Amino acid sequence: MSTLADAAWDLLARAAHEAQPIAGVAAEWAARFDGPLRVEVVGEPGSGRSTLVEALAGAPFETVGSGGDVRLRLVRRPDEVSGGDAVSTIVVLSRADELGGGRIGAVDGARAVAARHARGDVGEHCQAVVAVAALPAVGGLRLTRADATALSTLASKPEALLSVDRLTAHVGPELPAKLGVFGVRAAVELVRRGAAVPAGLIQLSGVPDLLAAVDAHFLARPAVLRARAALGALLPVVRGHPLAAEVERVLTSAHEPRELRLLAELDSGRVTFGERDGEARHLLGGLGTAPATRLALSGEPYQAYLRWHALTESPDHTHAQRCAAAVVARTCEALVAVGFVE
Amino acid sequence: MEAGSVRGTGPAFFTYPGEHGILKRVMTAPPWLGLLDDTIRACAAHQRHDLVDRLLDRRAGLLEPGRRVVVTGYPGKGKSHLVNALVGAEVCPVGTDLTTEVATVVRHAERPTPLVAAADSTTPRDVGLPRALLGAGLVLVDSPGFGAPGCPRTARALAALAEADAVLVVTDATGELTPLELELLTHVSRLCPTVLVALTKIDLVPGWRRVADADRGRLAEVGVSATLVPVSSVLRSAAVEAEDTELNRESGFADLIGVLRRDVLTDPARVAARAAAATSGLALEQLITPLRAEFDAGVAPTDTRALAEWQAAGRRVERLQRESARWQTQLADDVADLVSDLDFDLRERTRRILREVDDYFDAADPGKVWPEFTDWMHDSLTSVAEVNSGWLVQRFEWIAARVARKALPDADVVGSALLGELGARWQEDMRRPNIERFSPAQKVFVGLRGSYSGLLMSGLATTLAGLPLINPISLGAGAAFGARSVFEERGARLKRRQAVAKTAAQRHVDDFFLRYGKEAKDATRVVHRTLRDRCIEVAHSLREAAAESARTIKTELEAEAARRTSRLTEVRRDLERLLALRTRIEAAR
Repeated sequence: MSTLADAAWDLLARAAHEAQPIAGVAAEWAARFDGPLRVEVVGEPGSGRSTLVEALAGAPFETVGSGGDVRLRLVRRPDEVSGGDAVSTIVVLSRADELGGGRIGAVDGARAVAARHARGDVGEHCQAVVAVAALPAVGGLRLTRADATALSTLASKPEALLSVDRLTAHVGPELPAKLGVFGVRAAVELVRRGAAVPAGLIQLSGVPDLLAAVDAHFLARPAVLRARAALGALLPVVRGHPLAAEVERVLTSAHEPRELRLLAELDSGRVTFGERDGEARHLLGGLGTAPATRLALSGEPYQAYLRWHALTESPDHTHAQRCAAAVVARTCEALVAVGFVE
Repeated sequence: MEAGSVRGTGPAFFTYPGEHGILKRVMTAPPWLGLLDDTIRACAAHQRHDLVDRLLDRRAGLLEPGRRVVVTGYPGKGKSHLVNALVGAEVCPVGTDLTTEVATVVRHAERPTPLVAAADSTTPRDVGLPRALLGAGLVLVDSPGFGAPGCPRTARALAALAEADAVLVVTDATGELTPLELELLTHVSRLCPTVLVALTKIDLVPGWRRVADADRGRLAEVGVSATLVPVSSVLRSAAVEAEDTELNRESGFADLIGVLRRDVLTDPARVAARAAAATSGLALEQLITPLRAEFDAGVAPTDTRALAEWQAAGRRVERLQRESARWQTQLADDVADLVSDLDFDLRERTRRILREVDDYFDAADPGKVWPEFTDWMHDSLTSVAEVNSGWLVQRFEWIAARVARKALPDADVVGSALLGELGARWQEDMRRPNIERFSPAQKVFVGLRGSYSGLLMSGLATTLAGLPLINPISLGAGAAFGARSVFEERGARLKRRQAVAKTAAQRHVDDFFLRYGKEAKDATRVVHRTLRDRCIEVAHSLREAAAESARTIKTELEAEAARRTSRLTEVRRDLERLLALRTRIEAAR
C-alpha cells in the first residue's frame, strides 16, 4: 500500500463522518477501494467504443461507461486529443485499420503514427497512445465453421478481396461485417500461411498492445490511481470545507503520480537519460516498487541521490531532462529517508 | 504594384500582371467579366484594396484556360489518394498520418514533368501529366486537410479554395458527414457554387450505401446542392494497373469523371461565370453590410444634446428681452419713488428748521444774534443737504443693485461710481436781511416827539389853570411822555426786526429748498439716465451674445444635418448601385 493510498484512505474515512453529500461520495469511493481497477472507456459515437469493450472482456480490470479510476480515450484521429489528466489516460487510436486503407500493414502503419504522436503534443495529455483495430480481434473469436470455409475459398480468389462489395458478392455480408475488410484480408493471409486465425487476428489487432499499455501504466500501481481518482472525486464536493485544503495538499504533493508520468515519458521517448534510462526506470518503480527492486541498479541510495541530484543542475542537459532528474532524485531521497517512496 | 490610390480609376486600373492575356481575349470577353470588373471598381471606390487585390487575383485565375477543381476536406479522408487515382499516377504523397502539407496543382502537359519535392512549406507544387481528362481543360488541386482554425495548414487549404472554380469535397464512408464537414461544405458552396462530394473508402466499409444515403440527406438538409459520388481510390488504382474496366466501374471513378465532365468541362464558361458571380457576390456583401449599417444608423435623430443647447440659447434670448422691459419699468418706478421720498424728506427737514427759526426769533433780537444765527442756519442747511444727498446716493446704489440683479443677471453689478458726482455741498451764504437798528438819534427824535405831545397835552391842560404852556407840570408830563414813547418805539422796532429776520430766514430756506431740490432732482435724473443707459448697453450686449451663440449652435446643427443628409444620400446612392450590381450578379448565376 502506497502512502498516497494511505492518505486517501485516511481522508475518505474522515470525510465519511461529514455531512452529505461529502459522506455519500466518500462512502461510494471507499467501497470501491479494494475492487478491481475500473477503466472508463470514452469516445465519440462511432469511435468503436462497444467493440473495444468487447475486445477487452476478460481482462483483469473492469470496464465502465463513466466514473472510472482511469480512462481509455478513443479517437479516430490523433489530432482530436486535447486536454485531460495525463496520468490516468491512455489514448486509443481506434479503427486503426481504416487509417491505412485496410491494407494488411494498416495497423502497423497506425502503430507508427501512434508512437509519433506519443512523442509529440498528444503525449502531453496521456500516458501512451495505442493503435487498435478491435473488430478483427472480436470477430476472430466468433468465427464459425462456415466462416472458416469461406476464408479458405477466398484464399484462392485474390480479386474478391479487393473491396467489400466483392467480398459480399462472394461470401455474403456476414463475414465482412464480422471481421471488417482488413480482418478478412488478414484472416485469409493467416489461412494461407496455415496459422491460427483468431489468435493471429488478435495479435494483428493491437489489442495486446493496449493490454500491455494498461498493464504497464495502470495496473502496476492501481492503488495510486484509485486513490487519486477518489480524491479527485472528493475535491469538488468538499470545496469550502476544511477538508478541501488537505485533499488538495495530498493530491498535489503526491510523488507517485509523478513517477508514473516520468515512466510514461521515458517509454514514449519524450524524455531520455541515454544509457541511464534503465536505472531511472528501476528507481522510479517501473519494475516493482519494493526498495530492493528500485535500487537494483543503483546500489547505495544516498550515492544514487547525489548522482541524480547533480543532473538537476547540469548544464549539459535540457530543461525537460533536469526536471525529470529532479523527480528521480526525489525518489532517491525518499529511499534514503524511509526506505520506500511516499 | 502599390495598392491604393493608383487603382481607383483611370487607365492605371487594369495594370497588373496578366494584362496581355486579357487584352487578347477582349474580343470575346465573357459576360461575367464585366460584372467582376464592376465589382472591382466598386471595391476600389470604397477603399477596400484588400478585396480589390483578391478579386484581381481571382479575375486573372478565371481568365486562365482550364478550370481548377480543388480537392478539399478534413485530413485522412483520402484526398491525395483520390487525386492520384484520378490521374493514375503517384503525384501526391499519400500516408497514414497528416501527409499533405502543401497544395499540388496537377495540369495537362505533353510529357510528364519530373516530380520534385515541395520547395518550401508554402508554395504549391506544380505537376504536369499527359492525360485526356486534364487535356480537356481540367486542373486538379490537391490541398492540405483542414485543421485547427488559424493553423498554417488550414490557411493554405483556404488559400487553395479561394482560387477554386469548382470544389471536390472529400469525405469517407467510415462515418457520416460530421457537423464540421457540413460547415465546410456550406462555406465552400458560398465561395464557389460548383461543388461535388466524393465519398471515399467504399471498398472498406460494408455499409457505405447507407452512409452515402445519409450524407445525401444531410447535404439536402443544409441546402448544399452537390452531387455525391461514392468512390474507392484503391479499386481505381488496381483497375488502372490491371486495365480492368469492370473494376474501374466498381471503383466509382467512371462516375466521378462523368460528373466532372458534366459539371465542369461541358460548359467551362458557365463554371467560370458562377465562380465569378459567387466571388463578386461575397465581395459585394462585404461592401453592402457596413453601408447598410451606416444607412440604418443614419436615420436616427440628430444630436439631441446640441439641439437642447440651441433651445436653451433661444430661451435665454427671449428671457433677456422680457427682462429688459420689466427692469426699465421698475427702474422708472423706483426713481419716481425716490424723488418723492427725497422731496418729502427735504421739505420735512426744512420745515423743522423754519419752526426752530420761528421759536428762536420769538425771543432773540436779530440785531444782536444775527451772525450766530447765520452760522447756525448755514450748518443746518448743509447738514440737511448732506443727509439728503447721502440718502439719495444710498437709495440709488440699492436701486442700481436691484435693477442690475434683474436686468443683468450675470453681468458685473453697476458700480456706485456712477453716483459720484452727486452730493455737492450746499455752499451759498445767507443774504443778510435789512434789519434797522434803533439809533440814539432816532431815540432822541422819538423821545422828543413823545415828550412834545405830552408837553403839549399837559401844557394845554395847565393853561386852563392859568399856567403857562411850559410849566413844570407840562415839563414833567412831557418828560414822562417822551420816555414812554421811546420805550414803546423800542418794543415795536424789536418786533419788526424779528418779523423781518423770520421772513429773511423763510425766504432763505425757500431758496435753499428750491435750488437744492432742483439740483437733487437734476442729479437724480442724470443718474437715472446713466444707470438706464448703462444697463441697456450691458443687457444689449448680453442679448447679442446669447443670440449669437444661439445662431452659432443653429448653424452648426444645420451644417451637421446637411452633412448627414448628404452622406446619407451618398450612402443610399452607393447602396442602390451595389444592390443593383448584386441583382445583376444573382441573375448571372
